[in-house]
Amino acid sequence: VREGTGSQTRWADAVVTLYRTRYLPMVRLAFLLTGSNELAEEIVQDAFIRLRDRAGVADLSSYLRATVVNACRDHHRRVGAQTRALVRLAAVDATVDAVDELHDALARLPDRQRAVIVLRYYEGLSEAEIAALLGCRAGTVKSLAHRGLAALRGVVER
Amino acid sequence: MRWRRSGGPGPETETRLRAGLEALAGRAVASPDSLERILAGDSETAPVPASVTGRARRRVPVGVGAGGAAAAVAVAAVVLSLALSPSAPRTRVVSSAPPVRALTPVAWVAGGDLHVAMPGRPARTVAAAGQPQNPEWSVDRRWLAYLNGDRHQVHVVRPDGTDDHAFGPEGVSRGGYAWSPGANELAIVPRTGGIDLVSAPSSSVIPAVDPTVPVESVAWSRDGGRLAYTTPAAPGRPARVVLLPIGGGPPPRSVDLAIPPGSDVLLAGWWPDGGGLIYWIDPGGSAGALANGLPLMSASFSGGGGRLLGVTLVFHPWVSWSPDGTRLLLVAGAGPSPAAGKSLVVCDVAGTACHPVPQPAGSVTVDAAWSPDGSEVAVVRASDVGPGRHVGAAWVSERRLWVEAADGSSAYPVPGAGPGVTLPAWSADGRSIGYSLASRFEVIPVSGGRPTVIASGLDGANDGTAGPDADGRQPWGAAAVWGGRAGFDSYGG
Repeated sequence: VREGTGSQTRWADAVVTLYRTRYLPMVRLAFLLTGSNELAEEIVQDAFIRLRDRAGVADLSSYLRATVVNACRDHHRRVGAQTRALVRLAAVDATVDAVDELHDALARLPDRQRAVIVLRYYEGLSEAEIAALLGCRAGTVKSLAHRGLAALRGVVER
Repeated sequence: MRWRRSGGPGPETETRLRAGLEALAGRAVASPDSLERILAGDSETAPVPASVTGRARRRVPVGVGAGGAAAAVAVAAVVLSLALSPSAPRTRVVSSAPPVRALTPVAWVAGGDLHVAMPGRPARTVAAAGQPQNPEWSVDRRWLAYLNGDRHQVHVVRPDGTDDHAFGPEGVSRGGYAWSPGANELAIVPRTGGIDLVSAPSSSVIPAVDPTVPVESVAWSRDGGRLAYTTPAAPGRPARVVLLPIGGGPPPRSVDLAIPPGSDVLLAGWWPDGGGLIYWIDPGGSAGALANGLPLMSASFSGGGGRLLGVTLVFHPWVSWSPDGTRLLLVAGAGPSPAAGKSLVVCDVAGTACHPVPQPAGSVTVDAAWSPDGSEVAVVRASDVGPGRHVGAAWVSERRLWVEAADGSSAYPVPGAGPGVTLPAWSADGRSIGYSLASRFEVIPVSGGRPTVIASGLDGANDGTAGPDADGRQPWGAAAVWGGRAGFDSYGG
């Protein structure tokens, strides 16, 4: 790639730079949003590759995060119901620790609630930032956060 | 700590949630070749963030135009690039179109490698070194245990191939380890003696039984709260059965199952209510006797000795409890060949009543699996070739999938399944049955139809000689190990 065209070289350089600081954090974000390390990596790798077509984007880091979040939500739209059914079974089957319980509780949340919870309490974004990222109103973010937190209450307060 | 009256979380709750999310996120790891994959453009498709483009989200293949043909090219490129990349897993086994649709992970060994298909993902190799064997899923399917066949050492790995760790000493046999039904805890039984308990999440190892104690077999209670193990008979000392509480409780205690002097005991499992055991009696520890089948017994801890359920091969998939725990289904019949003299027997828990299940004359019935509601069983049926006859490919190709009531009535062959069916398993909703063939795994509706290929291209070719053996070896090479309690959860269509 580095021996290719100028745009390819610039893309590769940007990727390498961004990779050092943002790859693992993005994998962890995607992991929280999907529950799968393997899937999280593939989503983040796809997101990095998308940067090839967005060389002019000023804030690559924000673009990367937006791509990852939307890819995770896209994944949930396709397999959400099936995944939730799987998680329900696993929750019945297993004796799990507190982190496992949080994992399962997150997986049971509707994808928008999960996204808001993770972006608010893991990524530390403001309601306005989340609203911009998810393409909804700040009031909606507040409502989703309230419902998500209520659903997690039993796990978090245990 | 309580929720505030306003309905929102207090600061302490927020802190705990942040800490929990941090801890959970910390479990995610980056694969070592991730940067190379990115730079190689190793991707199928990628979404465009709506917040950046201002348009509705769409999915487009990276580097090629949109459309089915282009997507197919992209998929092919993924397979090709994986095959050509020295750092990528080998792809001798890949899922074929239609792609893997399992909602439950499935694992199998083929070509000396351990492969996993995760929900909606292409199959991948998770262990290629050391001749991996005998994969077993943890109860929540977040871990796989397998045996390194070169070193005879137990490994635990995540289904995506990360966190692969070896545990315990070398010299563990197939079947020398078992996951707890209640937690991600693995009991390992080295041939040299003792029992180690491995916690998969923490990688901690706790010696549960001293390594100087020879241990012959183990079985977890259904709740994972107790572990039963047996020690072999020795001159002047009978075989012992010991119940070991896990995680505290009363001290270990021996139970008297009235074992004949000089005989060994191989555990087949616990009663569902924890009140007794089922086990094989191995008179004299003879390999020949073992290969021909052993008497399977059922005994209560409250005394009375064991009751004979039948003579069966020592092959755990051929002994299964009904979902409600009231009936035990056996593939009974003496002799080493699955193609001669094998039929089903249904017993109650204590073994006071056992009934043969009728089958067509001149046939054998093996590989029985209860439906989730316990009303039906899926079985594999083929002709009875008689004792001492070679089991060839012709017989294997006769193996057909049947479904029948637990009493043998209402039996029908499932149209479209097989031939060559091995080890069927029901979906949790009872509407589909998955099974292995020599070169692929399929799922088919219970009433029959066109099977869905879950994974193909396997090179676990049937050699016509493999059969269940004393170590629980899977028949016919490649066989699916479904990652669900009831086989698998369900399949998309």
